[in-house]
Amino acid sequence: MNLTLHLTDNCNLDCSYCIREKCPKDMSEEVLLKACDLAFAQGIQAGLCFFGGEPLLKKDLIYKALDYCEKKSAETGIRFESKMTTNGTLLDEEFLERARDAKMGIGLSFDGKAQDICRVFANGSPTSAVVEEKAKLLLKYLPDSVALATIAPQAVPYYFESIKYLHDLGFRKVSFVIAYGHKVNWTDEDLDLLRTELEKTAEYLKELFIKNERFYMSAINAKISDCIKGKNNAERCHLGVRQMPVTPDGSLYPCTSFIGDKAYLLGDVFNGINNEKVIEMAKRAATPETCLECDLVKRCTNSCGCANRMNTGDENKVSPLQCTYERMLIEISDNLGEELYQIDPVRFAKFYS
Amino acid sequence: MKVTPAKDYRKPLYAVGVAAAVLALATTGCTDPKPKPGIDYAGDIQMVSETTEESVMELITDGIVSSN
Ligand code: SF4
Ligand code: SF4
Repeated sequence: MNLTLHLTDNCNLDCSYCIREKCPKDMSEEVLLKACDLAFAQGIQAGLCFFGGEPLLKKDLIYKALDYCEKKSAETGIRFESKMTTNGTLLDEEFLERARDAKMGIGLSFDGKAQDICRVFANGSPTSAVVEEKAKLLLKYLPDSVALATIAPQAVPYYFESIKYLHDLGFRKVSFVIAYGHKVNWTDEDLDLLRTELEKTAEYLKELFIKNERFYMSAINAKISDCIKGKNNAERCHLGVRQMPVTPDGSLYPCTSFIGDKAYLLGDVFNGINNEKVIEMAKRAATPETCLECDLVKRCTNSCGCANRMNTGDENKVSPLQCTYERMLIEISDNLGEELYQIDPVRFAKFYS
Repeated sequence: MKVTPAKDYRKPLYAVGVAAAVLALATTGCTDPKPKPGIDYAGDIQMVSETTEESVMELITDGIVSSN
């Protein structure tokens, strides 16, 4: 099974949109190894995503987990895969060599040209210069790494510029999501500007397509390819079944925004998963009532319990922000898809299906 | 900003066209019909997961805007 390991609740950055409480709580080696065992105990593959806080504050635990899981994979024949989401400031050559050996996927949280607006060190100083250097180092070792940008309202004017900057830096894959939760306040004006920025992005993707250059921009590319495939992983909430977070003390929850809410505790790494509770939770997940009659219901992320809970306080209630963003994104993606299909249907099929 | 259900949506032509072409390839055995389940990057509402080298990454929703 897949687990997200919160190796520590501590972080060396103080990002304005972060909703996690920072505290010096680290995962013990005992919890770590039990979590690894759990990942191997169920399913056809074992997956770990190292997360935090900032996971690189606990490099020792990452090395231990990799050694342990690689050995276990060799013994059991179960495939092992690892990823990490990091702010990048603590990356170094020694770590990257080990990560490369382990074929680890690294997602670098990097807001591009908007980096210093929201992502600052704990003492308030800017992070962009440091992270830019670390990004270059990361791409030298792992060129398939992904840049993960979180766009808060203040960062919207830099949206397209940031995509271009990250691409110029060498990223071939970027994931841009909008910031949700109580720390951000979106207005209609922000969303109008976001539309303009998304349109510029679509135009850029078209230019690259004409030049036969592959570049993956998650928000738009995924909407197009999911539409072609007739599937949408976000159609149904995966609460607790797709990738469970493990807290530093070993507790299991359905998804990150539910951490700490005892009503959603799904077990722990010592006693295993409470399957009855997982089933009960899955049964409770429903398409929001407001969406039942919508033609886009199968293309939209309306059922994400995590986003819904963050935005509306109710896992089955979608927010106006998410609805507006989803409609805009689908429209812009489809317009781009139609254009590219007209330009070169064969290349389009190769790039997007 | 309001929750506004969309009406009169029609499946885009690109999706109809490419889906038919992909189906033709699948019946000749040229595509991998069962992508493997992968681990995803934690930390974003909308995330990426790679299935094969060529694969287009999936849109999935896991985790939240959080510490990273
Ligand atoms: S576009 Fe809006 S109304 Fe339609 S499914 Fe998505 S959130 Fe619901
Ligand atoms: S709450 Fe959202 S992010 Fe969490 S598992 Fe469900 S769909 Fe995924």
